[in-house]
Amino acid sequence: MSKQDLTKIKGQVPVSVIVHGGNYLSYLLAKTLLEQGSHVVIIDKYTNNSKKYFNELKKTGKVSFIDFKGLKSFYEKVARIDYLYYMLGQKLEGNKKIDSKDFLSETDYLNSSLNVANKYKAKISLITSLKLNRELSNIINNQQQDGKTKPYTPLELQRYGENYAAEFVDKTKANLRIVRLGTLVGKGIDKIADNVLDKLFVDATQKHQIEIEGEGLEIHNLIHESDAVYGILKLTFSNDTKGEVISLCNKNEYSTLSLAYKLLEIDVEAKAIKFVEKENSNTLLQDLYVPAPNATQFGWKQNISLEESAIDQVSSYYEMSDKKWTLDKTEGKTKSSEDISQKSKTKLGVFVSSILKPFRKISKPKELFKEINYIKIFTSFLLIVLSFLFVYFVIAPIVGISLGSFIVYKEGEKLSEGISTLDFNRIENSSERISYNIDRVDSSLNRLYWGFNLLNLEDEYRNLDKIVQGTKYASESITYLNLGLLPLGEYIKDFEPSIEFGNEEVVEKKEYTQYLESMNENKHLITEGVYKMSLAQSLVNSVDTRKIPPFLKDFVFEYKDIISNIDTLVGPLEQILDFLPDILGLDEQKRYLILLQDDAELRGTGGWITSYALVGIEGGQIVELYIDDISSAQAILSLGGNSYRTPSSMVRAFQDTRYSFPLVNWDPNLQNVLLSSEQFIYDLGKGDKLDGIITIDLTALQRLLGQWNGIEVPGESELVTSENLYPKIFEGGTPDGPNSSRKSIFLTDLFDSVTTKLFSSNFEDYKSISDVLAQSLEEKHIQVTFKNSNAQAYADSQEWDGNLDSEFLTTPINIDWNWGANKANLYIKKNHTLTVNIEDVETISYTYQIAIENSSTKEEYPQGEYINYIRVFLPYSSKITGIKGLEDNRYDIYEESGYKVAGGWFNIPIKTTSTFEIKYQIQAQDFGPDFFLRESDTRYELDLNIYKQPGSKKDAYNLSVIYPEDWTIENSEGLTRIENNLNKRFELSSDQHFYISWKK
Amino acid sequence: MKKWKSPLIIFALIIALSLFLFFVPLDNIVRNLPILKGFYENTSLEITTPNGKATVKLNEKEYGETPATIQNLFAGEYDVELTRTAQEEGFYKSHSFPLELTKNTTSRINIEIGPDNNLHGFLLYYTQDNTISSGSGQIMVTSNANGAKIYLDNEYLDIAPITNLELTKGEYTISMTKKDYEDLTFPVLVEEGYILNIKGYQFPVPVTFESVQNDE
Repeated sequence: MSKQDLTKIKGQVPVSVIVHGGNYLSYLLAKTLLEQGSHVVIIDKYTNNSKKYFNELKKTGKVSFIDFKGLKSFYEKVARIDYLYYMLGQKLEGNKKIDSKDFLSETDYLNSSLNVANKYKAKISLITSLKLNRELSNIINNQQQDGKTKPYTPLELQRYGENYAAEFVDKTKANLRIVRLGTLVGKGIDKIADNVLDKLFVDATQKHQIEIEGEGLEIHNLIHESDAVYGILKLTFSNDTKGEVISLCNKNEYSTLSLAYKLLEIDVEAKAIKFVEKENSNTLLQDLYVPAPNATQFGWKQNISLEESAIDQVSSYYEMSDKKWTLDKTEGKTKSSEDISQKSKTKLGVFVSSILKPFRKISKPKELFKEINYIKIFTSFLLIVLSFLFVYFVIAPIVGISLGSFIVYKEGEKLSEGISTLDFNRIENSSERISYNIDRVDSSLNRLYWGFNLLNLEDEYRNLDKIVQGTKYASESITYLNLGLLPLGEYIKDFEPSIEFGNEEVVEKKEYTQYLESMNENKHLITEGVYKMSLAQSLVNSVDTRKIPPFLKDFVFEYKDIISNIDTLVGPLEQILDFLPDILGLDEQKRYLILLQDDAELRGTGGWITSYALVGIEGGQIVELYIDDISSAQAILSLGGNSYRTPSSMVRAFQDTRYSFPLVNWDPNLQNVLLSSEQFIYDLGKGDKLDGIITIDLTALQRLLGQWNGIEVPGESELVTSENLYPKIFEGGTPDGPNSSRKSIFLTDLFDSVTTKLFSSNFEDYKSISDVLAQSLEEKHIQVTFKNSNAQAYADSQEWDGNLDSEFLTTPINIDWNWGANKANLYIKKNHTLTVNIEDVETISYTYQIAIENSSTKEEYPQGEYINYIRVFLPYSSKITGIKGLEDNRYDIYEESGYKVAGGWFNIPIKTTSTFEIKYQIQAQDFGPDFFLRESDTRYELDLNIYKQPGSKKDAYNLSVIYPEDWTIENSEGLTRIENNLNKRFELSSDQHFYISWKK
Repeated sequence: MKKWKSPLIIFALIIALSLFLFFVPLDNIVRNLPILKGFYENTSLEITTPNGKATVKLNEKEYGETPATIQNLFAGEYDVELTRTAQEEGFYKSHSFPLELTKNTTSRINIEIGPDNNLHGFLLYYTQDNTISSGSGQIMVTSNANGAKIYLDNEYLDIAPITNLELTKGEYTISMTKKDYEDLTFPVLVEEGYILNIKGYQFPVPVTFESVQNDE
């Protein structure tokens, strides 16, 4: 590399200059610097000796050689110097004599080198000879004795160089240190610079005995060549050494005699030591030299022991004398001379190293047992065990709980998204991850139990554990439910109706039998999922929020609600999956009758039947949809000459009115309506059986129209909306008016459009109307019942089936029948007042009043008198003690389907208010064990279940319960207590249930 | 920076070890080690099906007919499938019961299999819980009959499900009653430090229809 190239060195490549670099030590130093990526410039005289090293270093490429003649020119052109190594000691140790010219040249080189290096803020090391320094010190001591001085010696030049450097630092604050290097030994040292030592090694390797002149008490500072290189670099790189004078040599000093003995130990040629008289009379009586601080104080460490150094050096001398020396004798004691860098250890590294030390020596059992320190091993082992326990029982649980909870929370969000989009893969992945991570949280929490125990926070721990266990059960539940509900979910997602809106004909048939079969097969998974969720709910619900950390309280309250809601939601799944495949036609086609009821004209199951539809479902697909006007159907039946036996109760009410399809809902039990309808459907030629019945009234229809923002109806010029629905119905006038057929057709067409839209909807469409459907089912504007007993039981449990179950006999059941051919129900207000008087444990008296106000202002359709046949259903064994308020005070009392029924005309003319009242009593002796008032050892209990007639509006209801004065109320279910009276006023929007108990 | 090197390394090691313990539970490692494996293979399952025999499959592997005692099982989650043997193939459905087996415990399934989904009996298995007070265990009780009343040694406890009810270790008798369902009574053993999971199955009582005539 030319000198010009030094101006183009990249910024990240350090430039190191070695002055007097043509020697073995500088060669090693340059080689190391090159290996570390430095650019090295060597300055020296070009001699045979230096040439040898240059050629070796040339192979690496990034090295420049400058002769002292070109020194000034180099310093002028060089772009940067990062490190300067001035190897003064190496030069002086090799020279016995120095003349004045050499002295001046050297001082000039030193001066220019230091100035240029300082210009570039380089780190500078002046490497001098410790041996020369020791000699100089001793001479000075001698001078004090004899007063002799010797100018222009290596000693003086070194003293000058060191003094100059020290002054240079004082003046310029340069980053300079003076490193006094010990006598070099090592395999690459052909001849030791110290003559005494050289002779010692020559004798040891070539003679039978080592000759020592005098007593052999001269002191030597040695350093192995690799330690020297490492030390020079270490001391130069460190900022702590700035301005310091440092001795770089082994910490121990050795006398000539001790070294001779050391050589004998390593089995050299010589076998004895011979002391001879010293030829030079200039004997040093006492070595008073005090070396500068050793390099060990600046982080350097001796890596090569004296023994190893001696072996290396002996090898070198043997090689020089062409003698063989068996290395086997020293096997394991040698160290590579290339290993000139040291990897220092951190405190942790030292700790780990000390722990592993015994294991490293396993390969050397003798050393292992020689050096083993049982206390140290025990201490280390104890420390490891304690550290592990600390991590295992403190840190890891805290990390585990935090990380696990975070993952669970995040996965919970994903799960929620998955559920809302019915993405079953996502649900599965999320629930599995929640499951894994909640297990980990559980395990972490268990490991922290000792802490809670120690702090006397066991209750807090148990509550947290309940949350974790509850979450565990919940995640497992979701996993099972996800698998179990997969077929249902896929069915809902994949469902493509075979009918299209506006076209009631079946256009395509896609079956879903496989989905339904899978639903059946997966029932056990649903069962397990529901079971686990009930456990989760029970556990989370039992968490005592007073005994949890305050920052978690809000979360726990919210979590309890979430889990309870989920439990309520999934609880019925087991039941639903039990019948769903069947009612969707898994094994055979299922047919359902849908009745459209006009609740403005209230009838038994909700209103006047205007239209009906027949829906056939097979293999999960709609295979049949037929919609017609009820009047047309009846006309067909009449033309066919069909006649039907009129129920006796209807005969009592209407005498000669003939039973017909439009009057099929005389019976308020929807299940009976289903059975009765089968005959009409059969006679209409529309099949011989029905599997279920669905009723929907105009209130529900109006809500659907509100959700859909209207619907197109054939024959209508505008959208039919929730706002214009009733005006359009009333356009036709009275049923017997000139437009009556159009009115009937309108409702049928509307029903057709709504039914078709419902059955051609997909999952997303149903999501938008789910609230309307749920509310209408709860308020009994939509009712369903099935022949499938499981489906029927489920509808019954949800109170969707409209049946007069026995549980409702605890209060009187009111069923109105508007027979006025008007829509008077839109203009009436109803107020129910029920007083339940518990006279004693065995007798309850009821007083039930119905006050109806008719706000109609004229006798004109749709307004008019509310002509109403009222029926009150009572327990079969009840004793009626009074009835008043009926037309002409005439009424019928009869028994039907296990009930006692009181019926009569309760008409309310326009602009009037009338009140009907019935009083009755029930006694325990007539009921036996089924008496409503139950008595146990500790309490009395009474269930009051109030039935809402389907299709009725939200009537006002006043409930009063009077009980014996000596009873103490325990649970009043929201009823207000005044003395021994309980009262509540509410809207009868759906069936109502009150559980009341008294302490004995 | 250098002075922070050791604390940083220690911190990193602690976090790494914590994460290792989080992601690789020691129990999972220990249970797969050759000698220790044996301690995890000592779980048993007893299956009986009164009034009939049933083929037993555990995680889809067949184990013969009931009554069956399957031993040396690994602790873990299992899916037990029971199919009642009948002359007419397919008359009885297969029923699956997921359950979790815990080491050193014996789980029991005693279930009479009826037509359709009708089952009558119980399923018992234990899960370990180190936090239960000394000398006590816990029970969790559920029933397929919604709202079934649970009795312990003939004393009314509560409506199912019952969770984490702590009891002194020992033998008890559990009864389940629900209107329209057959009663179920069986003995259980509450073990110290374990939660005994009890799942009851009750046959619905056959429905009798009463014909009611109109007074016409």
